[in-house]
Amino acid sequence: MATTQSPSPNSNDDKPQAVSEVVQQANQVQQDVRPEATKQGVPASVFVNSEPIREDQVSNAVKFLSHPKVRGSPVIYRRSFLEKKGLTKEEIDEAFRRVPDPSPSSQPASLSQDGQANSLSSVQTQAPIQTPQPLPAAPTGIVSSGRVARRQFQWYHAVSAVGLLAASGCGTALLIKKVIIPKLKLWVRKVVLEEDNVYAKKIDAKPSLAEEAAAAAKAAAAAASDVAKASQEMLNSKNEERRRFEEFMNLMDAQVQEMKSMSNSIRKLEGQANSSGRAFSDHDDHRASASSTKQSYANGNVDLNVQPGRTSTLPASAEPPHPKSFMEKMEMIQRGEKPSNIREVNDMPPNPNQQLSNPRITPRTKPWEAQNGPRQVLQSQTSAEGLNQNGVDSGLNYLVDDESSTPWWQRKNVRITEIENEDEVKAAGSYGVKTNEQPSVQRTWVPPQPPPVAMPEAAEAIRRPKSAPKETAMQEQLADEQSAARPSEVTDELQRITKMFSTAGKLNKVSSYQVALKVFKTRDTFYLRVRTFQHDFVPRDPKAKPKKLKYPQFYDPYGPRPPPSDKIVELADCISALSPEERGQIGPTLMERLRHPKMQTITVEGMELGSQGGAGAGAAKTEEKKEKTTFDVKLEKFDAAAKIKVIKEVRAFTNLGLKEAKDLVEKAPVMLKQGVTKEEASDIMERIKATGGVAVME
Amino acid sequence: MPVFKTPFNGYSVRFSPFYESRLAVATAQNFGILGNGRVHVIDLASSGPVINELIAFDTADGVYDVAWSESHDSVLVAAVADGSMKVYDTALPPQANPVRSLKEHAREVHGLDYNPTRRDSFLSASWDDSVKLWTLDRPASLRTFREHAYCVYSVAWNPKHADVFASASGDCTVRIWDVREPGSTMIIPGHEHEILSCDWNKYDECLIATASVDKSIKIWDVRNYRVPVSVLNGHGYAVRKIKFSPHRRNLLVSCSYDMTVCLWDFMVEDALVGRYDHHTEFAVGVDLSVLVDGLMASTGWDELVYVWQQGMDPRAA
Repeated sequence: MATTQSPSPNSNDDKPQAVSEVVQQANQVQQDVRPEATKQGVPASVFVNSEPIREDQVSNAVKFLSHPKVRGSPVIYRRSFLEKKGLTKEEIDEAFRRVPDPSPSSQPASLSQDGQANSLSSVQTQAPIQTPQPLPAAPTGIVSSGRVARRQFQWYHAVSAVGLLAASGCGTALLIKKVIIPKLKLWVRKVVLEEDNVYAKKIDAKPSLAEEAAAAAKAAAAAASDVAKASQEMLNSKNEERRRFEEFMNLMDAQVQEMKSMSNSIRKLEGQANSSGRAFSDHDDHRASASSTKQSYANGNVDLNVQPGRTSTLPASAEPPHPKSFMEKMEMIQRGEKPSNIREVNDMPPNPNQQLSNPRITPRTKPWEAQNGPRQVLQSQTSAEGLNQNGVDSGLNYLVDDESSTPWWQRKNVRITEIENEDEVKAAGSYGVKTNEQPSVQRTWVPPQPPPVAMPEAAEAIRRPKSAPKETAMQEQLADEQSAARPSEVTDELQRITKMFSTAGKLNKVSSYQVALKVFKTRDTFYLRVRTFQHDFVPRDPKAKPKKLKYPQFYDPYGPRPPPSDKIVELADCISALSPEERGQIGPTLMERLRHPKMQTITVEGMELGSQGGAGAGAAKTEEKKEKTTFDVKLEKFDAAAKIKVIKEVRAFTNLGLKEAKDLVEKAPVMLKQGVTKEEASDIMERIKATGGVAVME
Repeated sequence: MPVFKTPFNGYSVRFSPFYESRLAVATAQNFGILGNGRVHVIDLASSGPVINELIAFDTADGVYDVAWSESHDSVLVAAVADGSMKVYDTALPPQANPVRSLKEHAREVHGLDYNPTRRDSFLSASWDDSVKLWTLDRPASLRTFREHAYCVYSVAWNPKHADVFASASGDCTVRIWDVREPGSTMIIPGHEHEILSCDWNKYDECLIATASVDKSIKIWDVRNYRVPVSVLNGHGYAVRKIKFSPHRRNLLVSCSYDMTVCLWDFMVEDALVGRYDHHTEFAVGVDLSVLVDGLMASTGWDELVYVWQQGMDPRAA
């Protein structure tokens, strides 16, 4: 790659950082970018973020960066991770400074102070790679490194101590192995050798053997305990370290786990098992070479979500359905075959020094530059004159008087945006309204005024269905699918529109609607009319004859129902034969019996049927009652002294008012109650007897 | 509305800033995976709804994006998938084309943008995580901006400040740069997924829109970039490209893998103003004309280029 200003991104960032480091270390944490910017001669630009550094973010970043796993990943991924978390550049730089990591912005000086520890070997391998780079930044780098090195002493102390312990532990283990094994071997050999002539000296040899064995065992035990101690210490220190970063990493791991499980479950749900679908786990890699290299990126850092974008799986309904031929092509290429339609094309310039042709047109000013604001733009579009407001802007000639010269792509319809969804009619209406008014941003939808004379032709035609040639002609045109006459018709209609614009003079909603009405006639905007004006007025076909509806024979408010049973029919007859007062008693009586509010409807029925039934067949009813289970209670006579009591009782039975009950009782012998069961009748009789009257059951 | 059929799958379409009826289309064979590419320069006939092809240039690898020069009316730059960029001059005879081949990127060049205010320089966004600044008269790049951690999908110049531009990348961030500064000046971690496109509002130089794989479009104000000004949902799949209208303050158009082109007004509560689903495959390229208000064009993997007026049906004939 030729002519790049810096050999690597890190040192590119480091130079201004080195400068700023000194500045920022002098001041406190709350540092604006502006001093730095003004130092460099740039005025406070809007495109620079001027937030102060957030200390909590920086400390989190430091924790993150100090983790050993993070240390192993390239700097660019660490930066990218922090950027995605929302840290600003200054915060990231601050975090990098605080963390003693072997990034190029840190110190060749402190690296040379490293001990022999094994655990630092990985650090050391990185250091020589990066030492040449910081050299240009050496003067300032060493200054800052001296300051920072002191802080890092403790770190390196601890790390080197751990390393030493580990080394010693390994060393002792090795030594002991080396010692024990020969010792054991010797011992074994001794035993074997001495066994031959042992029996004689067995008793003598044993104690010495035993002593030796004991000594060896002791040594072994001591060595083993040493090793155990060393390893214990190592473990402890490691555990301590691990615990420190456990919190932070757990959080991250939990998040990663959640996302992974989510994506897994989603994939299971979808059940998509496209073999080549895997290649599109992230978005745009349609090239086989690209996908393979990016796989290697992915394999680099598996645990941490440090990579940019790679592990972020898509939300539900993830993959857009790629075309079938696309999948075929992908499979073919992944197998290694080359599609057959590729040719060898030489697209190199024949003359690399070819001069570009001279521009023939001067560059036009952009609409957003030419005008002071959007107002004029809109005015010029929809104003009656149709002229552009500024002389400079020569490109915005729309509705010029000379219609024949405007090409089809410049002729605009009214500002009603067409939409496929009928739900968005209102949005379109609002949009259209807005642009025709003064261009202030309207947030609420103002319902458009209804057109004054909706459609004169249609209204006329409806009145006179036979004589509407224009309308029918239009409709025929609309119905036809001919292509020949259409362009000219379109142009005619649109010419009429433009003329209307030019003659309208005043810009108001009504004129726009009139124009829209004209517009509807053109074939292209047939859909427009139907969609946009659905809520206003859709004229019906005036030629259609009014429908003659069939009515059923009689009015049946209850609808179709099975024929009532005989019992019901008889009941109905009885009830219909009642007098109105008696019908009025049906409801309360039934209420008492059934304690059901629904049964109140029968009073209504009773009233209704009363109009039909008439006052007939009262005798028939009583006859029926006597045959069946219903009984009457008749008050024969009563003691004059007990009149009041009797009246009270009668009132209780019949729910009559005081006066009515009194009249009834005085008329005795009189029917008190009808249509009651035997038990009730007897009950009534008893009560009347108790009060001093005589009742008879019939 | 006319349709133009390209032999290869469409990738990008751009209106010429000089001629109202001229467009350039970038296409790539075999969906851009492997194969040749072609740049078409097409013209809208004034006599009727017909599109003519003026000239076409073949390339060895797929063409992912194309940009018209703002200084020369006949010059256009094509971003090729082999990492090079070809400069074509339609005023010269076809044998003299391409005029330049600028090869510096290590990976595919995915996005191009020409500076509309300064008119002399253009940027290229590449999958090798870098953005390069070029001018037509120099064979080598002027600057390289390497800070992204993943593919840079698109770049956009700020329409008012000639030195400021934004880049959208697969590392889920949008970076705002100033060519006078060595590094990026702002980092907006806009989405949780890759950001495929970004564009500046032409009338408010602090508003930037980003389109992402998470099917949403977010509008950001750079002065307060922690919270988006507006989030536009409505696409069914990843949003591939967005463009703010050069004529309307609040209007932007987007195309997506759900095969629709949508028109949005982000200041309105119900932002979706229009939806066109004329494509039968992924809609990957969309553009609004700077010279003609309301004229828009789109292209997709179904090898068709549609040009229509906003409000009309693109498939209406």
